[in-house]
Amino acid sequence: MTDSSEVRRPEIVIDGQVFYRVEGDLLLDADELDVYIEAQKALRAQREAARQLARTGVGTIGSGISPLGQPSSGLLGIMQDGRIVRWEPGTVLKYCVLRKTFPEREWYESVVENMRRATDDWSATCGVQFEHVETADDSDALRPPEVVFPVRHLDSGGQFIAAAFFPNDPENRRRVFIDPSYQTTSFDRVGVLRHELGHAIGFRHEHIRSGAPAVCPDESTEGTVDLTQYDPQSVMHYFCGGLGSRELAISEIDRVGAQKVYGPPLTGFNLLAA
Amino acid sequence: MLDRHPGLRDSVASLPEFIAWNDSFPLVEVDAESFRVARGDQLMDRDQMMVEWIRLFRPQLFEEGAENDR
Repeated sequence: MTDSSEVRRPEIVIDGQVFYRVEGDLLLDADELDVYIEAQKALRAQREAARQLARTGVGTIGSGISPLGQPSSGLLGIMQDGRIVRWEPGTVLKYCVLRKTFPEREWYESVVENMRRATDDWSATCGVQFEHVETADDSDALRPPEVVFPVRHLDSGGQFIAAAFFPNDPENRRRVFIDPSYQTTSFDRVGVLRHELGHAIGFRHEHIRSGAPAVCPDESTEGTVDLTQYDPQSVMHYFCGGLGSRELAISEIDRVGAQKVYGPPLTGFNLLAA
Repeated sequence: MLDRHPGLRDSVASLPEFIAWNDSFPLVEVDAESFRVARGDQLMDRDQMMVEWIRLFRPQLFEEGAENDR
């Protein structure tokens, strides 16, 4: 193996400016090349640490790198007809919180606020967009046509804290339910919604993967795409077998996995109209 | 999925093992429709429960159907 910084890069002059070719078809200017070389050094260091960990069981590895030394992406996606299920690029996931379904005004208000925070967290993680259509909150319809999904109160008798849907579910099944137990749960309530929204953008439970404790709830993994290793800190992992967390935070490995499906957050781009 | 395997829905629906497993999940009513609460936080209709049961306990039923398709 050689150090990227020691490799003489092919130079190409375009309109009087010098570019360096890397990875076959990427042209970088001198500053970009310096950044690229530093990133490659960091990646190699992480891979070496991962190999060390795999060999000796001792050491730490940076986020996003598996013990196999490959870039890792936690999260378990859904496969349909041989392709990963995701929302179409450009889709704005419009939602409302159906005020009239909630028996208490405070419950409605807390769900509105927690949905805002949970959707912001996902939008800061990967290229998904949500929009709260507040005007639909007062709708009498249970499926306002102007939203992709409604969030509504449903008393399931404590059978779940909240429940959601997958992108490939039929349109009339796209809804997020909030049970009264949500109001008193010991889980982070924004975290509960982060988890449910993870389903809504196409991620299955993390604790069903190989490597999860046997005591975690089982479900079929048929039709899922298991790209890399299991992430016990995933937002999609239940609190079971001593793993998972009550915060249900989006882990660094979740971030890598989500970006593999949806790309980086759209806020990171300077979006230009045609 | 079940539609691709004629007769499978009816044959599984009458299996005591499936019936007992299906009935072990809590039932909720949403807008006059019944769903089982499965996988902890997902509402599944009877067909979805059937597919899940086959995948977990009798995957060969789908494989046999696939062989018949060929």
